[in-house]
Amino acid sequence: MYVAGIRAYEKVIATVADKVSKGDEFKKFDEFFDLWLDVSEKAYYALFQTQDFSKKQGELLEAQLNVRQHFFKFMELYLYDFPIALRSEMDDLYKTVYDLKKKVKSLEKQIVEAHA
Amino acid sequence: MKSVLEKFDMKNFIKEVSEVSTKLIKGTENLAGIEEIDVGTAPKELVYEEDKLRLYHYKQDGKVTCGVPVLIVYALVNRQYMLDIQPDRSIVRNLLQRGMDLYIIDWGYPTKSDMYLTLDDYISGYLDNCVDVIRKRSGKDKINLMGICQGGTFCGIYSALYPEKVKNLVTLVAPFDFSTNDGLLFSWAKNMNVDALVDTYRVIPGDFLNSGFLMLMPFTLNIRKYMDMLDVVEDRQTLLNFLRMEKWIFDSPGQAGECLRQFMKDCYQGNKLIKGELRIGDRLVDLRDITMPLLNIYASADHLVPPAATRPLNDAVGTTDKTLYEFKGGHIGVFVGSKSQKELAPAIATWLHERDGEGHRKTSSSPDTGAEKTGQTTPEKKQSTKDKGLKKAK
Repeated sequence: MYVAGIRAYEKVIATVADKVSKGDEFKKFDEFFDLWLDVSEKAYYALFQTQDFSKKQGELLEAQLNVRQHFFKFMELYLYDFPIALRSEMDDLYKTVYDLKKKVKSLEKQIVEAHA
Repeated sequence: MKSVLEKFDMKNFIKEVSEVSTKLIKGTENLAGIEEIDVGTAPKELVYEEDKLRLYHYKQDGKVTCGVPVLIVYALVNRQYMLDIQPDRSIVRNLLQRGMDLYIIDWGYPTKSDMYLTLDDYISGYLDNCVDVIRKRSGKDKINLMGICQGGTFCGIYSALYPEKVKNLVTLVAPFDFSTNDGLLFSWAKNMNVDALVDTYRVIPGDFLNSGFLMLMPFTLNIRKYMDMLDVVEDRQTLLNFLRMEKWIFDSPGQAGECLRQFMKDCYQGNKLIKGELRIGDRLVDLRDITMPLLNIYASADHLVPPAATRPLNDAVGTTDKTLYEFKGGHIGVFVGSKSQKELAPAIATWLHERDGEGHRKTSSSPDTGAEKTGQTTPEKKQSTKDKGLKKAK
């Protein structure tokens, strides 16, 4: 991303230099701003489209998630003796509630169908 | 020779800075005066709720001319009020004015307790229950489904599983063929470790997904948009419209982990839906079981759900009454663009009216906008399109 940024910056400078050498000038700030935005957007879009970027982004995300997971595990160990519900315990609870809800809904449907 | 800096009209620059300062002052006053950013204001009543889901029925001031009710199903990502974002840019109001009887699902905001909800729960659970509620209320055996984006995919799956409950199917910018890499999301999703994502978060934060959407066009969405805001900041009404859109963009519900896991792995990564390999619960989804009339709408400049992902549905379904409608614009323009209000909403209403009766008119007339112009498939063209395969998306 750094390289894409540098390339975009160089392209903006080159375009400005080209314009100046032809005797043109920037009448409004927006003209320069639009040029910078368009060139930068295109440069990053080209990068984002590559398989390389997609793969690296996937790897970076996975690494971040890994750190986060280990942090959660550490917190569970650290907080184990405290009188609070831990994440893993809440997950169990959520699963039980989910399963029960599903069962109740299914039974309710069967009752309605039986009465129909 | 003059320096590069001298080639900038510095006098004008200073004038511009002064103008921007004035705009900012006026804009700040306007912002301070806006107490509420109202969205989704078309009158509606709550008719059903289950867990965090709400089903609303829109109040019809005029006469209902389309007897079969329409259930609008929006994506789990972002909120359904996009279809009624402001009174003068509202597909909902537009359809109501054209005599439609409308219902809409609000999926709500999942919390950690919803982490185990699956695609099956959303489609064969919540969606099916909503359809049954509307069938019961209306006394109709079948209702119309109108699904948007991921909601369109859900409606497609639902229609294949429960064709006996669906009269007509309308899909808007809904992905079905995920093999394409045309859109960045489709490319990025293929390299994402979805298991790690779901196992870490349980319910994936809306902000996480939003940061991905903002990266699709980082300069436009994070910089240009706010610079452009300066042009409208002095006008209270236009500023309010801008804020409505901002509110919608950043109003992103979290995603139930198990549902997202299957959607990402089976659809984005495995492309199982179009291949007929997707399982919802214990049932295999075969898109050929979509035997009711289909109106499939795609946006030619859609950067979120590219045409290559939407168009193939028409070749995969079993119905012969299928219409492919090209909307010339982007993903968001489908809902709020002026063209959407003038062309798309009337076209949907016309298409549904034509298929409202018991043995609906299988007319060759196309929605108001004109088939040739939009590149949609009229009934006369259907066979040839099927035979030749669809034209490549532009």
